[in-house]
Amino acid sequence: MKPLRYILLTVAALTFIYPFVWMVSASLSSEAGLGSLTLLPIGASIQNYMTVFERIPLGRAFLNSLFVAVFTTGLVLLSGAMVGYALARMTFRGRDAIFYLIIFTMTLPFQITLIPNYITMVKLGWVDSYLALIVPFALNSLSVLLFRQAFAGLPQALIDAARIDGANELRIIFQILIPNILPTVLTITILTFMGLWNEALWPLIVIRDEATMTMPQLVTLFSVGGRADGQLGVKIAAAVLLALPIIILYLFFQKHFIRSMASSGMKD
Amino acid sequence: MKRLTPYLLVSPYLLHFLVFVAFPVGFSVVLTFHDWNIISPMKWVGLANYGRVFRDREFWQAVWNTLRFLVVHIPLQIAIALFLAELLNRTIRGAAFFRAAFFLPVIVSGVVVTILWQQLYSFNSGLLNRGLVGLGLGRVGWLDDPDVAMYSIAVMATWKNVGLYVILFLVGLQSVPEQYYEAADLEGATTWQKFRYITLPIINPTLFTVVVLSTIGGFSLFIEPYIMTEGGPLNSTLSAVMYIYKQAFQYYHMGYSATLGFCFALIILLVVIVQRRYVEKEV
Amino acid sequence: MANVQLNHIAKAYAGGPRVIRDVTIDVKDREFLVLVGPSGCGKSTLLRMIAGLEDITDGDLLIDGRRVNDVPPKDRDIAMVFQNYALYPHMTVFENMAFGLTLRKMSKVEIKQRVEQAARILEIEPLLHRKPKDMSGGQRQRVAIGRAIVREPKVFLFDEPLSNLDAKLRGQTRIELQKLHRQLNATMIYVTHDQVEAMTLGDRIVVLRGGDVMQFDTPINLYNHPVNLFVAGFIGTPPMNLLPGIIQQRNNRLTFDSQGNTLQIDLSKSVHHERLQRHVGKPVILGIRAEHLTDAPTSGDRPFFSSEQLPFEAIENMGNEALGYLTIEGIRIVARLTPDRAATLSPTAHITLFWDLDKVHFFDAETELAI
Repeated sequence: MKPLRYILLTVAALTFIYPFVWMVSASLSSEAGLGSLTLLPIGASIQNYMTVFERIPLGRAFLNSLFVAVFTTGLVLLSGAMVGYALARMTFRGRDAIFYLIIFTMTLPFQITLIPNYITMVKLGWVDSYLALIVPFALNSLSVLLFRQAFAGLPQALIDAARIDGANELRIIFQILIPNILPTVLTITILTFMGLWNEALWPLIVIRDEATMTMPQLVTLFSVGGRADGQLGVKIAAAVLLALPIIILYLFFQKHFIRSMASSGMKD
Repeated sequence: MKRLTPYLLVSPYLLHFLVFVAFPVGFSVVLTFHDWNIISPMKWVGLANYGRVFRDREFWQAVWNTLRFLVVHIPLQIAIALFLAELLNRTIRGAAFFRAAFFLPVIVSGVVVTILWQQLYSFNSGLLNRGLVGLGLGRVGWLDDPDVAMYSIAVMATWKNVGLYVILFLVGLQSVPEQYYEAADLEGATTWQKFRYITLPIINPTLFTVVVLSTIGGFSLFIEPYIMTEGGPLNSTLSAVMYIYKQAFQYYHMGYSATLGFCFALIILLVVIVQRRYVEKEV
Repeated sequence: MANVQLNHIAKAYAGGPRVIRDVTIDVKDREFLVLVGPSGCGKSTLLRMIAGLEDITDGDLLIDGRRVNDVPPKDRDIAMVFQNYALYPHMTVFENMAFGLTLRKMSKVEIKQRVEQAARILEIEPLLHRKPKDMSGGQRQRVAIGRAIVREPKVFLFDEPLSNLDAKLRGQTRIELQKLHRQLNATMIYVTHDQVEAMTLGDRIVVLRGGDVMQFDTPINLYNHPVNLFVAGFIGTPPMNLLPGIIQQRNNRLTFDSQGNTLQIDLSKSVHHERLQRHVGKPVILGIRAEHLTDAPTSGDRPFFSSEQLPFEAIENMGNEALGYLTIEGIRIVARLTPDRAATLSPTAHITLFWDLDKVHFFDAETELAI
């Protein structure tokens, strides 16, 4: 029974890992390598990557993606902590109403707000600007709820002590409480960063200018449009470049990635 | 000042809510009664957009495609995720490695996964067809046959997401006390009986979560068919979100597109309600 | 240093009843004031109002003559020590103690000087670079006190600071708090539910119940002259014996008859004689402390009542003192016995008890006030 289990698990694991290995070696092969099950590149060359960089500004897109993801994640942490703290730790009129609004927002299908949000971007003149990629994502309900839950679990005396020491609310949140809920901060960071890094639909809607495009969008358009000339190797090279940053992060923080995603899944 | 503090702290939320939730919801209601191409002024059309939804065969085709996707995707996903979670639940050595391996596609962009599978499914040079030919069988039009293409996408989506659900099920399975199984062993229960009468009832909440999550995920299907097939062949992989996108950004039918969004959201709600009834009653 | 005045302070949470009704206390400069009472009596709420952590619904709070109702905690010049110490877990001891000073924009040199001085007083110098999680409860306690000391506040507030320590450490810390109080010459307000802490630490004590002040006096006055039944029962270990009965007048003799008539105590010669005249025929409660209910009269020139021989249920002999437990009309009574003699008694011995009648307390059974 036991060996069988390990055989099954190994086969399953290979099913998930091997395609990525294949992608990398295929991207480094000539077109001939695309049709075979290979571990190592066949006729190794970096021609595919050269072609990608010749045809699309992927370096620029990488920087765009990085800037948007990092900056927006920072804003999500900032806003989530402030709102979460108020909901968890302060009593004020309308607090419960806001809490229910957040739940409502989370259950609202994005299909409803997609078109009007695009129109808002047009009216604000944000189309083709970073603002369109950042501001709509600068706050998210899940991060507010996770922060709220984490703050609610801390002892009141910690806040009282800081208040007597002379700290104002912002200092209490960011200097006293946040350092004590770092696992939650990490969870939110991972979820937000990953979501933003991989987001393709919204950029497709609000960005037309290649210089402002993020990586997933640029790779999508490259792969759908004619610029890859139907050359699969080039498309795959672009895909590898898109996957690489997040996979590298995953290698360092895999436990946190898994825990974060699982905790967000359990929320609903 | 002191009384104002909480409101200052929640003000980012309120502002965001007003601009990106309340206004869009309200505005999309208004839009559904108008014809609008963004440039020229809005034109009141009453309920015409709604009437058009009912007659729009392409939309219903897209809804139907999305449902076909779900019908394969959800059971497949649950079956594989449960199976792998069961295997992992009894495994101690190397469990972390297997978990991490299953999870790999989850963190990667759908764009990457789609490009990868596009190659696997390729009619002439794809690995799958080469394998079939190697075995002396004929090629399958994984993405070229209208009767097959959507299911191919469903299989790919399962491969991408199943790792997350393995983890969710694992959390559920680990909450089942070992004594239950020992007691069942003493009574001579079969493996299937143990699964059916002990495991399943306990992980029922997880099951429901998984069903809802993958339903909502499935209903937002967009980037995969957009890259792989652009909705073809013969609109057989056109998803509802793709169609809404197309109406808005190819034809600039903003009013109609908003109406489609509304109707589609209603369909999602209906499906989730039906699922809740069914899942809760069944297990 | 400073005096603190509470004038008709009241507290109600939004829409709820008043949890503090009308409290007036003046804390003198350099006084050690203890707020004591059972849980839910409002003592912590009162302290938190003084600290500025809770709003004051009604009344005035003055520190050094200045009304501070609407002054935020940081500007009240107070420091507080919390029940669970509330040290910042991510900061070292030094950082914990320095935090409040840093926020007050004090120079680094002075901060260092103050922290080190406080650490010396509290003997925690070797701990300055540790984090709270690496310390024992007693050590954390000292750091929490240190954090208050470095601020050199006008008023120190303590919220049950000893309740998480074990009995031995609690005893030691009590003594150190007394020393600290003398050393710092500061006004201190201290909340506890433990009457032993209250008695040993307080210059004066406020006994609270249900948001009302029951009695506000020195420890010795609380012990000897409780103004009502609650204080009588709350202060002192073992608690005062309380026996319901009625005052009777029979042929010029004033007696206390217990409810079931087991006891008829002649009060004609006692100091209570005058005061009890007005209560003839009315139900009262007799209170007597264990040390005034003994197996031998302590002083010959006071009136004693010797009860008939009563059987003990249990005897606890601790060497320095011995307590005998018996039941009168279903009420558990405790008497103090001579330890040497108690050692010779069988646990169920019958014995004559001497009631020191001048030390007996009487309470009106209806108003519960002392007579």
